[in-house]
Amino acid sequence: MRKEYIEKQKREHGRKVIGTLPVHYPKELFTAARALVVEIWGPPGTPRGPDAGRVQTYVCPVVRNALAFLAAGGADVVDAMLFPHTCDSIQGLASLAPDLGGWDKPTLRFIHPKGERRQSSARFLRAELQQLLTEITKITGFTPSASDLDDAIILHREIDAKRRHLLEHRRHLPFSDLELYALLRRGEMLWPAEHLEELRAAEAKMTEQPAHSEVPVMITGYVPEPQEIFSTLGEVGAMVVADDYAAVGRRVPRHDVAVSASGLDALVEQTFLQPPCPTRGANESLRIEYLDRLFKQSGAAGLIIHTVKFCEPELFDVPAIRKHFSARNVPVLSLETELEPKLSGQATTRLEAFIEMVKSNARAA
Amino acid sequence: MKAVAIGIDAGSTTCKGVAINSNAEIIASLVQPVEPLIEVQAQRCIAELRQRCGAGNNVPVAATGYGRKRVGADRAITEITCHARGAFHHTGKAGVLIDVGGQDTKVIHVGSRGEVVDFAMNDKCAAGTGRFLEVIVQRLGVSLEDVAKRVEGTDRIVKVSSTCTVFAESEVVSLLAQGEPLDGILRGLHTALANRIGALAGRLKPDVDLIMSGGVALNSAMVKALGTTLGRTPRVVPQPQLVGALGAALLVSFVSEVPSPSSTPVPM
Repeated sequence: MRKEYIEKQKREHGRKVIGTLPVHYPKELFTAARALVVEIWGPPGTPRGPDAGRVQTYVCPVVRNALAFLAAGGADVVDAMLFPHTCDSIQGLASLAPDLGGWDKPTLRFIHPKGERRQSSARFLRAELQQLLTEITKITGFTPSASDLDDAIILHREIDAKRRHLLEHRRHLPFSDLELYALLRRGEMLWPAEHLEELRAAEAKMTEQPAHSEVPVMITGYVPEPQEIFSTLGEVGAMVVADDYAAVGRRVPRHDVAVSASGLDALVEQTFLQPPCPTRGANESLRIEYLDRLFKQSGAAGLIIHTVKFCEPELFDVPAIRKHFSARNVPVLSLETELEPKLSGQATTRLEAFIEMVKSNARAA
Repeated sequence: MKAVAIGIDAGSTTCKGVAINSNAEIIASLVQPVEPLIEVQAQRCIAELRQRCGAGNNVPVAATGYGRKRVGADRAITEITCHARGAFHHTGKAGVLIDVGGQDTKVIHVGSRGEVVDFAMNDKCAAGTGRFLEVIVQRLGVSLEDVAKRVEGTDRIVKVSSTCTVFAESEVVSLLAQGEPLDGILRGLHTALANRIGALAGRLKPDVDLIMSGGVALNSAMVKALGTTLGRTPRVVPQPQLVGALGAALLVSFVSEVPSPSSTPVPM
């Protein structure tokens, strides 16, 4: 489906298409330069070729699957590939893809500063953005004007605001978790204006009275895969009311972005207003404070920490998050998956037992 | 006294079933090796339990264990919740339950109402489970019935460093080739398994009531090995293999919400 959509974008709109590995990258630059970005989160499931075996089994499955996918020609339809500096594994993949995976199209890199905003990090980020924009324009052959860039920034702010609205009013949406994630994750491949239209249509379906009475839980993690997690939650009468997935909620500012600057300066300031993310070296206590607030605002009754095996940035924070919420008597479940196509029986049992426990707590309260 | 509920525990290695009366007493039970077509076996077990205690089709059935969704019961409940409820029926108080099953090991913190307060469970591999012992003991040509006697009859512990079933099997073969005594290796395997379970249990409060259920609890050598690792020996609940099925029956019956300790666990 993705391939047909990409080919149509090229054929009908003459757009260049750039694939990207997760997580954070300035979408606005691509939109302004008239390039479609398509995200590659693995793809999930079994590796699409034998080249996954070229990296060690203790490297995260997103990277292993991506190498197999690129080497098998899965992304041949795109014109270039971006490798953001999310983690050392993805950064390493930028070298492995051409060396071992036969990737012979342009390879772009985007290094975002780690930690809190400092003058030096803001300066560094601005230079990175400028450099990336130059690289993108070489591929698209179109140099955006200052107003093109500002228009793209405004468009993506509106998209983020809609996504935030949908996530925050989750209970008023007549969608299952699977349907909501499918909608929000279509933003990983759609032309932004089309994605905005879909978000508007979803927003119009919002009900005045809550459309759900399931047991509310919050989830934090990397990517909502395998999707069976959400059908399992649904089957036992639970739903996600607060989301801190790196692929979804953690890319949405939780308040209106009031940035007076324009162009690249606006992008610099916006970057530092994003929710705390371990892939950007977020301060652990700030992240816990953020998660605590999200949890309280959502009315969740339990927390699921869903990690992808060997995802080091995510795993570093897990003990502290678990400790914080457990100390507040919040039921916490740690669930580790590997982008497998199907949840194991043990994982299903753990999820279901967790919801039974949360329900029992609610009854007792 | 008539049956009020039936519980089926369709586990990874055995299928267990109980029928209980309104005093929450087990009036019929069965334990069978699990068959590939669990839905067929479970229905046969239910029919047998109904026949043995004269229960009609109106007696509710709850299923637990990995095959719970294939049993076709009135309710499917996870084995974590069922084991907690079943063990609580015997103890009547909060505590920590260690359930070593065929495919997984669970450490369940049981609350004062028999509810699950927290739990830890191994996943994805057989390390630290009953299957670990079963596979390696078979490799050594020792029957499961003789294991405890042989382990308790030796003072020697041959260290087995791996708890991965595959690696441990090859490690044991190497140890035998080096001339290490079989019984010492068996004891080393129990210690390795106990250490693995101990890591899952984490640090336990000294005053917590420590209990054990599951088929592996029938192996007295394993219970003792756990006692050495944890600093005190867990009490084994009566009929430890039936605890999950009992919990399922209690949870589906009208007597489920009335904690009524029916028996005292056997002290070790």
